[in-house]
Amino acid sequence: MSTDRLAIDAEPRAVVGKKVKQLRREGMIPAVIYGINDPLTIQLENKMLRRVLRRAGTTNLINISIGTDTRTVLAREIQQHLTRGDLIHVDFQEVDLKVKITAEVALVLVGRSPMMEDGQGSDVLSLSSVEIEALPDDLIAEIEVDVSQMTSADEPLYVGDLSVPKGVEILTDPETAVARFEYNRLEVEGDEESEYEMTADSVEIIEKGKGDEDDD
Amino acid sequence: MLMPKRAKYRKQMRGRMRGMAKGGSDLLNGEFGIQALEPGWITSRQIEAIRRVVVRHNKRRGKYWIRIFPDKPVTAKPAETRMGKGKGSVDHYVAVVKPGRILFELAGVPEDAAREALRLASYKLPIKTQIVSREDRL
Repeated sequence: MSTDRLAIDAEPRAVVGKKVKQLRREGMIPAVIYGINDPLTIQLENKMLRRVLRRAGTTNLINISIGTDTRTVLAREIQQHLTRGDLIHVDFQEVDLKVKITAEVALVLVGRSPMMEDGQGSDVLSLSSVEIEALPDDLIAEIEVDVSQMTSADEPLYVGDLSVPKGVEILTDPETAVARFEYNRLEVEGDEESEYEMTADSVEIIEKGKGDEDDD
Repeated sequence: MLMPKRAKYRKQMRGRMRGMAKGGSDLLNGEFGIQALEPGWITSRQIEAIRRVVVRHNKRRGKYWIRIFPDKPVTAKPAETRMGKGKGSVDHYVAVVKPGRILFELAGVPEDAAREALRLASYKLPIKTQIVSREDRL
């Protein structure tokens, strides 16, 4: 795995604080590397960084070259603009390849339960991610949740049912449910109408405001 | 329609909607969602309308989550009433939404059906929105 590790060039960064806005306008993204050595502020080229992060996510190792120095890191936090998705800042954690680390790994639904095949409802993830512990090189991007094992709506799949590769340990409580089956909601027309009859006046007031008594 | 069961005070001030959403800007359960691009008030009727559009379009397949709740009372004066005589009575409830907020999530339906359902649903809203998915984040 270490042979095809992603690589990216970076430059040391002297600009800090609000002045990094100027950097972003010039197509550079501010970032920080922390972990083994002292924290180091760096800047990376936006397009290259985006390309690397898309492939690496937060679970694949990246080699960052800063001049002659190369550091093996993991993207720990990727800050993005809420609506545009532009990169704002990235936290990289330098890792020791011989020390186990923890990471949040996404869960992905695979297959369909027999009930969903019958069109009775849908399979739903109860948990979007689990915490794992592994050596940095053994980290995985996602864990598949095979819902075809689920035979009844009363028996959800638990963290303990998940299968992970050797060297990876799940830290989340094994009794936590990860996927369940939910029946389609049957809507009765009458029920909807009665809901419509609820008016703003039907809200119960727990404690009267000071001015309200004068109003009424 | 969604509205609070109990409230501490009957009426509220209007308030301001500056800045971006502070939370609720990531998809939690669903694979696709509607994200607000503008600030605004979403009424309980509008929330019910988008719910109906999505349920009807998907023929009750899949699962949906409404991520906003109309907890803000809006008052109005009766028609043809002279000004004055105090604040009007509570007319309806709204959810205050800021840019970035996920309004509605959908899972368990194919991508094209989900996007079409959410596109149709977005026409029921008074603000600009975009459809987001888990995959197109980076």
